[in-house]
Amino acid sequence: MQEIKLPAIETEIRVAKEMAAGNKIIYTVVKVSILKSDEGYIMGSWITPLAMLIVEPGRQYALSITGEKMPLEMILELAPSLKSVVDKARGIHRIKVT
Amino acid sequence: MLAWVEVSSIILTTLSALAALIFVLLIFFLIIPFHLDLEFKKQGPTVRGRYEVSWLGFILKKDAIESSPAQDAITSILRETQDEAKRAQGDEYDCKDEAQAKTAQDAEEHENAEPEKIVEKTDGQKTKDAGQKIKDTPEDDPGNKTGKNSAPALPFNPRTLLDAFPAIVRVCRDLVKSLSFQKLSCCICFGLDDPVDTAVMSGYLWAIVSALGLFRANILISPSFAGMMLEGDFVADVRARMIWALWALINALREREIRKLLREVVRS
Repeated sequence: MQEIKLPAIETEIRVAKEMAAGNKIIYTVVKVSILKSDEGYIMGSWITPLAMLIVEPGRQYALSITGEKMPLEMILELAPSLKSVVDKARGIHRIKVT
Repeated sequence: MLAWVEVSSIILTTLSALAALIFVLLIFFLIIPFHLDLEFKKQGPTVRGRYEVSWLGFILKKDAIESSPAQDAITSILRETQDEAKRAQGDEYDCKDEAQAKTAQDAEEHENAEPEKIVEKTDGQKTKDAGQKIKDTPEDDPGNKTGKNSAPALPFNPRTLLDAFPAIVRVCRDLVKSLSFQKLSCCICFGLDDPVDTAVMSGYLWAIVSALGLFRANILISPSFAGMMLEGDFVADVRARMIWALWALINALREREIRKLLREVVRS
């Protein structure tokens, strides 16, 4: 009897392309899942948003997809690639008044 | 007189034989399929491939393609587009940042009633805030409204294209009928700069494969969410009968909507 194998689910956490809304820039952290058959054929994929990093002039903060505030460290742990974005934003928005 | 009649009959016979020969050749051309052999492989930045067009066992055209990383047009175009988008976004961000800084400083100035201040940003740009208008902001630049973001003018009315769309689909279906895939194998791994766009694009590609009835063929399209990339190979052995292609073209010209679309394109 032929053995029936269940398809495997591969999951990755990625950062979607930034969106500009007024003076805010929003980075969405998404979970991408792919349903793959044993032969390597892809049977489907789905994307779930997890959290958002919002960069405003002067401040950066993170929100979970449910709308609750989350610490920046948590979103950086989720998506380490966002660290450069936060560092850049912190550098850019420093205003010196002479 | 007799000689002239003989000469004219010989000429007529020759002409009719020539016409019959052309007719037979045309029938052969329409019925005997062309054979197209394609093979492309992209691994890393290098693209290798070959194609061969043959008819009745005679090779009409044959060539091998090999592009070095410097000639990799697709990747360079994709990178350029990505860089341009990033640059545009960066400019927009800087402008907004500048405007925000100016507004904050203006407010402060009104409160303190101090003379000119200079706002210095970390990148060394200086902006005087003595009421001067910030240039190149997206809102203020009239060129932005029409120039940069405006779509290029189409050579036809989009409404005409929409009207002709069902007819175009019918023509495409007829054209696909003229092709017979003896061998088809496609294995593509691609990624765009945004994982969401990658997922949407892979959905489109799977839908196209399914709509063309190629789901049983050896076609493997896998998205890569790690960034922009295109790798894979494509092998196809196609036979094309020109009679069906000609039939599709004749049918297309019989469609009023397509004739209207063609007229608009030619006029423009």
